[in-house]
Amino acid sequence: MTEPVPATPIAEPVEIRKPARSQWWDVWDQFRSHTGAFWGMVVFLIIVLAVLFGPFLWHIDPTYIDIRARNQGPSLAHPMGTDQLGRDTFARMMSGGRVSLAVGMTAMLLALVLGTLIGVLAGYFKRLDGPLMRLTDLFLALPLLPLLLVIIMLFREVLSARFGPEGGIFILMVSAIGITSWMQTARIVRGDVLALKEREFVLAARSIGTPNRRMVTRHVLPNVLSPIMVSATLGIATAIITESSLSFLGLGFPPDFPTWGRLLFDSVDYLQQSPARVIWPGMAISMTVLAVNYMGDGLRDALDPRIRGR
Amino acid sequence: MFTFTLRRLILTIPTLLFISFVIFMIVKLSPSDPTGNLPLTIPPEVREQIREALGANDTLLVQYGRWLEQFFWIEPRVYLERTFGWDLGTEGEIRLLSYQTRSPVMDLIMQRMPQTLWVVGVAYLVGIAIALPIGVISAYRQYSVFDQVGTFVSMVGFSVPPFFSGVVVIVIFSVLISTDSVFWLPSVYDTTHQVTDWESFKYQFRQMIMPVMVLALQITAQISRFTRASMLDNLNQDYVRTARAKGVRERTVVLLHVLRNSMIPVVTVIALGIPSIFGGAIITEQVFKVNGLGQLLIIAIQGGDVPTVQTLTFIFAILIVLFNLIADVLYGILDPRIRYD
Repeated sequence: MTEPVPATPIAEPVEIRKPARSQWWDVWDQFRSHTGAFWGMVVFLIIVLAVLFGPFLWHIDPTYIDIRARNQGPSLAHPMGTDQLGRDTFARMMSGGRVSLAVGMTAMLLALVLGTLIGVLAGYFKRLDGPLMRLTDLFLALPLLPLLLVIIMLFREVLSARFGPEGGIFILMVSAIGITSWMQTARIVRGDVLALKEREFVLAARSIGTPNRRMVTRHVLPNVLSPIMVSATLGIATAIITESSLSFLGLGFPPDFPTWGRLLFDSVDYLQQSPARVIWPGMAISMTVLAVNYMGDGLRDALDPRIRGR
Repeated sequence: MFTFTLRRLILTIPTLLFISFVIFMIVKLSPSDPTGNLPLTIPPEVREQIREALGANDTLLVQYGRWLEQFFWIEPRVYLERTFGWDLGTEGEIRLLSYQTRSPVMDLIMQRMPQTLWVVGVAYLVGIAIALPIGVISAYRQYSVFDQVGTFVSMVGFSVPPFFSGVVVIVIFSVLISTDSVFWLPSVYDTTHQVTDWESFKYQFRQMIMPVMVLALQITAQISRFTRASMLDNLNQDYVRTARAKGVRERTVVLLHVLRNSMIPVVTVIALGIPSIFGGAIITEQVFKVNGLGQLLIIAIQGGDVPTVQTLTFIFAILIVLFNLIADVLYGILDPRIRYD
């Protein structure tokens, strides 16, 4: 009886379906709408690009000594002036930034790997929870800055002899900062893993016999990615500040191997003659850290599904 | 509560022992030589005797045991004798001696302690005094201009390291402003300065402004953020609505009901921050040339002065453990919802 519906197309409401979006697009949208975070990212990218590609465009060697042009103010030939030996501050800022950012990022990566590893192990395996968390508490009770100073002072010569003055200090700096800053990540990750373990999808995965290794890599790690990313951004900031504090106390890289902290430390002696010289490295450190902190702030909001989409 | 405090106190002993062992091992396992800074003209056999006399040739465990005995047994008794005039028989005992100055490490620390405590303590109080009103107002007027500015300032406080902010204020107030101006401030903190009359008090005040404000900026940044978050949590609670609905004045609601409840986590954060301030003061002391504990540590590290480094680092560790304990106990006392037993 029922007539087949004529196949003539009724003017179907034209539905423009949005292309499938992964959650990362939502995260990006939310991140973009956070003004501070967006501009923080822009500034950070500019600094990273300048430091990476600047030396290809600016041909003055950061170690080139032009003693007749010493202690100059900013000019066209030297946009940031020169230091007491006539070295170009702009070139030194760029090569110093490379080291500072490299130290910051490598140390952050090390801290992140350590923190995630310990956090996941402690959260996932009940037997390891007690000992690992006691260890974390002990590390949190260590006076970090004094200890870092001691470690670097005591071991720099051994490592310098082994890997050369720059490489040795780099390894020492990165490992010292990394080993002393994983605790916050570990705690956050452990907390999240503990909560995840009670969820149904984990139970389901376990009931079909997923081995522990795959449980961690497939189900646990992707779900704790957001706190890890937030602590990664904040980790860069602390690592850069720590590195420059150590350099500022005279315990960082050797003098002919500039980092931002070292440049600041060297300029302090010439505060009377050329007060502007301290501003450049200090601004670079502060701008980078400020940008990274804003990024972390925005990322935290963007990755929080309760805030996202409001 | 009492049993909890007692249990925590007992638990701190192994923690501190472990930390002291870690610090001891880091310092001892490094290839630093206690005679490394002595003149090269000293013949090797004399050098060996010096090392022997310093006890650097014993096994590590013996050295660690001796350090523990000196730190926990001999030094406290010496100070008890001094303060109360008792005789506890410390006459012939070997105190913890600094390699650099050959004087007892504890005496060195006691000489430096007042400067650090004075500068850091005042900075902490000033920082809290600025942070609390800022935090309260930014939470009450969330997203207002005041809040935005407050957020920005605390972000800057987080991001600008003290060795830069310190140097910048020195550039502005000590270098760019001429010395005869009212706004000129001394860049070097003179710890021998005695306050006797109004003029010397004014000088003391002026030399303290810069170090205190630089330290206070960081403290303010942290605590004002925390106060704001904690206030915001409480402002949306039901009891606030109830209080308003029954006609309590807004002032009373905010300053009595909300503020008191929001202070609970803030107080613990304030307690937790005290030891890290000592760490941060290392840099500020270096910038303003305050001869406090931080500077002592730097000098000792540069001179390879193992006993001083060990003792100072351990004292910093004691501070951290102690204030963690205080924060935990405070939390339990202030917040009736938290019961540890």
